[in-house]
Amino acid sequence: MKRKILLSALLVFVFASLLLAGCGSEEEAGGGEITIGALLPLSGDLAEYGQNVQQGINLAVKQINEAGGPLGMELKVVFRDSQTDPTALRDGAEKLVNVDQVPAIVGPMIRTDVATPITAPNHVVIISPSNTPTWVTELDDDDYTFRTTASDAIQGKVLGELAYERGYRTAAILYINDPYGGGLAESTGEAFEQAGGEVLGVAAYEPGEVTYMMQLEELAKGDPDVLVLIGYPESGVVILRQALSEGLFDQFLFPDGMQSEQIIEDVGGDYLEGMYGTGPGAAETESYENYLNAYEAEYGEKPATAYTENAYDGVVVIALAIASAGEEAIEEDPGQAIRDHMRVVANPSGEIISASVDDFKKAFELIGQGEEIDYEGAAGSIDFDEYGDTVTPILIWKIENGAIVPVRSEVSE
Amino acid sequence: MTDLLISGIIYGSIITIGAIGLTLMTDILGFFNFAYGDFFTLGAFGTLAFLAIFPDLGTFTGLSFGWTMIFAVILSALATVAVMLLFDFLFFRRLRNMGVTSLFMSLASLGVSFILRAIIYIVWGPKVQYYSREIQLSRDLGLGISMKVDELFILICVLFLVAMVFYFLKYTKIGKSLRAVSDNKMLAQASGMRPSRVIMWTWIICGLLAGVGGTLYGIQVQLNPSMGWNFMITLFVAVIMGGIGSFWGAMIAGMTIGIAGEMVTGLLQNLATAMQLQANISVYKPAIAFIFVIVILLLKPQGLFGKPKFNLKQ
Repeated sequence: MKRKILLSALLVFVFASLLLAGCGSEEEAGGGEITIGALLPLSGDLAEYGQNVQQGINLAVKQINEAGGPLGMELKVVFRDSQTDPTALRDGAEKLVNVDQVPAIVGPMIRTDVATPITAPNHVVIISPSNTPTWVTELDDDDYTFRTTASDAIQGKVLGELAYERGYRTAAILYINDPYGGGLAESTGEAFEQAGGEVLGVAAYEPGEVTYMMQLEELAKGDPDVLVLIGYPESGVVILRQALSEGLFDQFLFPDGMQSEQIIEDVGGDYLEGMYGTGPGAAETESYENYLNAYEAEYGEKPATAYTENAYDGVVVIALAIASAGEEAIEEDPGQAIRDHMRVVANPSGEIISASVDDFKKAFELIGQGEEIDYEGAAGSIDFDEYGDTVTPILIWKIENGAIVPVRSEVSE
Repeated sequence: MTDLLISGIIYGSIITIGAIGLTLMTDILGFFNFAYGDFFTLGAFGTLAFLAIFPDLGTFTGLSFGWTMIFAVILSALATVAVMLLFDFLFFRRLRNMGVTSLFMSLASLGVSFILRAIIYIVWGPKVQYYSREIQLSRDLGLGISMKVDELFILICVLFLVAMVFYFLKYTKIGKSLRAVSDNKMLAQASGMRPSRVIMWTWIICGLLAGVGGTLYGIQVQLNPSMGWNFMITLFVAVIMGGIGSFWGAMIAGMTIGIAGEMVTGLLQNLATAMQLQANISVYKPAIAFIFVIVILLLKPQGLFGKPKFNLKQ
């Protein structure tokens, strides 16, 4: 009995301290700082992406604060790990909304559909740096869901056309069995057939399996010219190693999910030399150059995986939107205020702002004077349409001397 | 189809190594040890750590590794045993002395598994790793069989270990007392066997198997901090299907799950293709292996070779 009493006392104490913590952070928001959230896969299949994107976010936060911060407040960010797992993602979103009580979240990298039902009703803006599937456009989100990357409808088109352009006439497609893989496999196959190629086989795979021989043998029937592997590096490398060691495929094409130098290192040798892929591109803009220089100065290396600039843009747009909304609106309903000002600061008309501390300073000044601004991001021009989507260029890359080298960027309408 | 059979046999043999350890542990310690998979992972990463320490002594002809690997595996297996005994000393021994139920012990092992995994993440990071980044090409061995030399090594290694464990249980004094405890705990104690000694030897055998098994998994697939945890479901199924405590059961169930997963799914996929169905059966490979298990359990609830007396309430 004694133990039960102790236990319930402990529970009460924990709840009370949680409540107090909640109250505390709300009070602080009105004062000298404002906290936003970030929901990223810091472990699991996409850990490498998540950790690099985290660096992009930290860079943006640092620069925004150097420029004086939105409304003179210090911008802070709480990170939650989505573990590349929908359950952990849902949990992380709930914690950001209910415990951390943030008005806006950068993320998630994939599965926006899991986060939206939690964030939208609570008036929390989410801006994904990388969730590319076509269905994100149509989520029921009360306009609280944005993304700073292009839809897969566009990437699939470029990937399918690239396959034909590279001289492949028959192809097999192996995709990860999730909404990203299925959508991209379909749009890639369509584009390849429209260009004049023939898709001989399509198969799905579950990540984390020990062997993928069955799918690979099935797809190798008819001896297609190329295997389009739509997935993520962790299991993707297992597939590549099996395909190579069994001699089933030696030509591959990759989408953004596989755009990681880790795959070259992990597959080993020079088997992947000369292979092509697509990913989120950046136009050769001043903004992008500024970003790359700042990133290199901060971390001593170029971003190792994609989407760091898209996340950077997400933070900047949120900060500018906070400034544009003004103190009163932010105190009343910060999420809604940010949502309503995302397009105001990012879409055309107004002074162009690129990615640099000086420009952010200028932006905060202009907003203070009631002038209009148009943020041209590091990842693209970041003009949100009515669905919160942006069109960013698609990069075509190839593997050369063991590194991923950009070939060209394609801008599609 | 033979390629699928071979890849099923290799997978099955790795399951077998894990399942033999888990079935012994479940039977003698009297609870499902959820942390066993993470000891598997620890064994694999331990080998990676020792590989980095030792000088490279070259590779065996045809294999992707050499003497360094052999030394590393042995040390890693011993290290896994040491960590297991440490955890037993810190947690499980105390709980045993308190006389808690097997359900409670299982829950405690769940906690241990989280601790272990967290340590592995902290030490080695979330990145996937490989022992060797060279890709081995399959070789044609005639009769339509082609396999990698590494795979042949895994098979031989598993056969050797299985034989060793069998010899240990059957012919050594301590092995006999393990079997005696497994048969009847009370009687074994009454005949003067020290439970603490039997338990220690169980950890040692299971730790060695986990260390080597994890490394073999790493050679065949990859090293991943959550590999053992994910592998646990398969191991549990093999143990339950074979019958808790049954050496031969674990072996036959392990091979069946490995081979059936590949072959049955492959056959169904061919059937669907022949009927011109647009179906992606390959994705449901784990499910198909488990349906198989359910059918067996419905026919024989104590598992293929299980002792009818065993029940989980015990």
